[in-house]
Amino acid sequence: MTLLHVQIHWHTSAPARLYLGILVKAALVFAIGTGWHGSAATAAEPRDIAQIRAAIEALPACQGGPFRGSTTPPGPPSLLDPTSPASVCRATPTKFLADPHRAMQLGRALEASSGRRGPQALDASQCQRSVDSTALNPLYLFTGTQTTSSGFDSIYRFL
Amino acid sequence: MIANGTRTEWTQTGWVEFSPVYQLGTQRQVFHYDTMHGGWELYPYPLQDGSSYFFWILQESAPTDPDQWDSFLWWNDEWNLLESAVLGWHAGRAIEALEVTVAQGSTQNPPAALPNVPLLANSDTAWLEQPFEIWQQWDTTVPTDLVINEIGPCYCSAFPSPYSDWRVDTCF
Repeated sequence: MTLLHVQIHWHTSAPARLYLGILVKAALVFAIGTGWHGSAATAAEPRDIAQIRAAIEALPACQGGPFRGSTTPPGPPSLLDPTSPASVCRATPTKFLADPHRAMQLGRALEASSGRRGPQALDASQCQRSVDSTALNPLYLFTGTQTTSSGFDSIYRFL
Repeated sequence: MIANGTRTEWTQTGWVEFSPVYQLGTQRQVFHYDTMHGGWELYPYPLQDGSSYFFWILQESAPTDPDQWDSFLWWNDEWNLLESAVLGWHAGRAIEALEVTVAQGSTQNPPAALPNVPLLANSDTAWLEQPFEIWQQWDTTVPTDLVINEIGPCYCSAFPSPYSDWRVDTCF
């Protein structure tokens, strides 16, 4: 799926656009799925950032619609299932905040925490000191693994 | 969050609620951050109490490609692609992480749970041979570092089932 493909197809007639839009979407889902298999199609064609951006722009924009964010576990269809590809659309951010210090902050947080610790309840008195502080440094609670994992998903549930 | 082995490049997505000092409104928002773009992207999804939200960070390309990581939110029966980033490493050397960031201020932190967070296990040396959908429970058999910044916490955490189940709440 290249930039050239997208540009050519996008100037076709309306029914064709619809069809090709579905095709582009299906192709992306397929690429996502097959990429995990290390397929020749994705492995043989390195892409640069412009090409990736073009592929993203080719996705249909996500519709706002009514609130339907809640899903009862076990959750939505897998992005990795080529036999039942999930629908994919492109979200649009409303704000972009450049934050050059963020990297340094995270780096410091990780550097300062090289020791391995077990799960623990946190100390509320430390929290109070932080609230009183004038520093803008965020706090980090970081759990990571150094296994050979290659994918990750998460569910947030507001109580 | 997924970071490279040296923790110099990463991509992360989730929700954020800014304290007043940032003057960005206190509304709960979906965010994405990656080191390629170098900034916070905010998305106005109306996240509500009592609801669950699914996020997925996924590597699209094969290990020989410039490595593209896609961040998704499940919304309106579709996977909403929030952002893609090329981060220059492949999955075998990735670090998975969950992060809670609490900024200075008097904001009441919303209680939240992160239930049933799995890891997608893979092998660095047998990438092409492994069936890749090997979801692994994030339990205590997985080497895990719990890292707490020395500045001090405002958010109390609990692990009903380490580490696949998290609960976080204001400490007071």
